[in-house]
Amino acid sequence: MNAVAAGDSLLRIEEATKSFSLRQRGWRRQRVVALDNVSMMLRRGETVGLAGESGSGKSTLGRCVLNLARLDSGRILYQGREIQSLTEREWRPLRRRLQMVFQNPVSSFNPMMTIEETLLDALRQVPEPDAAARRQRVGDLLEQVQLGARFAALYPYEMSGGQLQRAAIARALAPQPDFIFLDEPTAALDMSIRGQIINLLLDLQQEEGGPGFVFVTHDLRVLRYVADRIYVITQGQIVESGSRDQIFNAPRHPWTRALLEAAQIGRRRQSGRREAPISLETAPAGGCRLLARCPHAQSACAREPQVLREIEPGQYVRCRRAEEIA
Amino acid sequence: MSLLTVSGLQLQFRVERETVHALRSVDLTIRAGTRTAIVGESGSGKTVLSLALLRLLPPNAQLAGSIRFRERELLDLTDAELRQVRGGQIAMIFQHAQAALNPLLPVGRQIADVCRRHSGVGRAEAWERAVEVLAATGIPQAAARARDYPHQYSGGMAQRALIAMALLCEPQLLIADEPTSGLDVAVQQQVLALVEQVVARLDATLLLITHDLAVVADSCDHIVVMYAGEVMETGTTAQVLARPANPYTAALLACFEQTDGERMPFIPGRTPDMRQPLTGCSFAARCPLARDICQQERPPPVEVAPGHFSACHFAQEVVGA
Repeated sequence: MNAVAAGDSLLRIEEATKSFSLRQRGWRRQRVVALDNVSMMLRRGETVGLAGESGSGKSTLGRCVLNLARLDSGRILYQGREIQSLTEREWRPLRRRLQMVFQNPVSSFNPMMTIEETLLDALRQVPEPDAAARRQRVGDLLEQVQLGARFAALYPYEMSGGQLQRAAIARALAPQPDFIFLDEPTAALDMSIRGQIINLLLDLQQEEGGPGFVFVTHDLRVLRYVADRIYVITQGQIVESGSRDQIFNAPRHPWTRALLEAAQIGRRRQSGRREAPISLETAPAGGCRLLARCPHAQSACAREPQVLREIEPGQYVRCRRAEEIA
Repeated sequence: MSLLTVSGLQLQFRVERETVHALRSVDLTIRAGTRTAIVGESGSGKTVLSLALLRLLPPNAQLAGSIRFRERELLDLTDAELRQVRGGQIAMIFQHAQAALNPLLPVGRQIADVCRRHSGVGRAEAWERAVEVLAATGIPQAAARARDYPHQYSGGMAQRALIAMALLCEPQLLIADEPTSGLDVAVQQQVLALVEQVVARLDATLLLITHDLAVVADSCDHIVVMYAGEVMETGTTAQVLARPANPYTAALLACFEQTDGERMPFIPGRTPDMRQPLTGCSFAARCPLARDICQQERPPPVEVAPGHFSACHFAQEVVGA
């Protein structure tokens, strides 16, 4: 990751750490580390997949990148500029260049506004000559997300989840952003219509000068279609990163492999139907954090913390047994 | 021997002068000792079907047809009789375990309450049994954890506690409604394995409600595929997954398969409006094989292989393809 020149990247996250404090039983407080030394990078026009479970820290990362939350330590560089130290006045012109699509399309729309009104609202951020040009732009955006101009007059309740999610992507595209952060854009949709959104992203990627995407998901399988590079994150740490082919064809981290297996029909039959270890203990301090859930764990894993290391050019794994597992 | 027979089950909800047809004449036979998955997407009626089996429906629901459980007609039972069946003979594990537990009572107390209600044992003995079943579902330090409140449990542990509660009365039928949704993959596997263990130990019958075909293949021996409040296909897991006889099942399976293709498969169109009465096949509008007859006549179930039924006018062609 760090081998790539800084000039090449649109967005860089360097050693991001963020923790929250939770109150537990009276005064005692528990610290939850949502992000632990996370570094990642997005090139212009590229699609990066961020795969992790709920609670893995992926949404916190998104909020920090959009400057909606502040890191405890670490830097977020947008075109070489650190964004966290910007004043509100300095940040505002940059804000439109970073857009977001939320998980639940129904709750992310104002139910009292038609799709056209919503998109016009989003277009206020970009200078357009006149009202007619803006309306034209609304039509173009709806075409771009394969909905068609007839959807402009509809209210959210008149549309299906898949259609609404496409409208949400149109809304994110409206201010001509440099990148769009997609937070589980397919999770609220049925399996049979997820393909609509994925295929739309594939088409948008083909367009010249289009935005880059950060695609956050717990379902690795959709990243096979859309991601150029993938980061796998759990418990606030990146456990594996690499190109799409590296992650899908030669996953090295046990957690990545578990995520891949989970999506397969008949997974346990293939893997010899081993009895899942039933253990709810948390990992000991200092050792690998995934110890209790890992089928490959050895006693040595409990002794030392795991570090992210490059095992193939461009592929980083946080597991001491990565080579054996392949 | 059939444990549960559902015939001609219709369920409607009255909502502001409109009628939502949630189930349109569902027929189903569950044999004792089987593990059956009810698979469907949102709005297919899979969850309301499971709630209808226990008659856990809101007042605006209208239920018609027949649900026979061990030669008893559940629709004719009084409330008192029904309470004995619920939890006692048919237990249910709900989708969001945290939400299914009372946040104001310790988990062990809630399990003990179920025990006292159904077995009539004393407070102390009920507590002991609660700790026992918690330990049996793999909760470490069960005696201490029984005193904890639901918010102190993780999602996976809360689901275990619900399974413990279901296990307590040794039900003949266990209904699990999306027991793994919202849990991370490692915990999902553990919870599924636990459900299977419990069912095997009790010699019970399992009805697993899910949208996830990946879960089904491992955990169940029979599949019921639902769409828009109707049963589209039933058969053994092997039959349905290997040789789907309904175009909807085939299309849904394609969405789950890992393809090497450039684009991700999906089913065009959207599910029918549940407020409208349907003539013809509910999937006709999205079906690649649809012809005139599909719009006009509702297809009856066709037996394409022993025990393998598909509600499609062209079932034989689909299964042969």
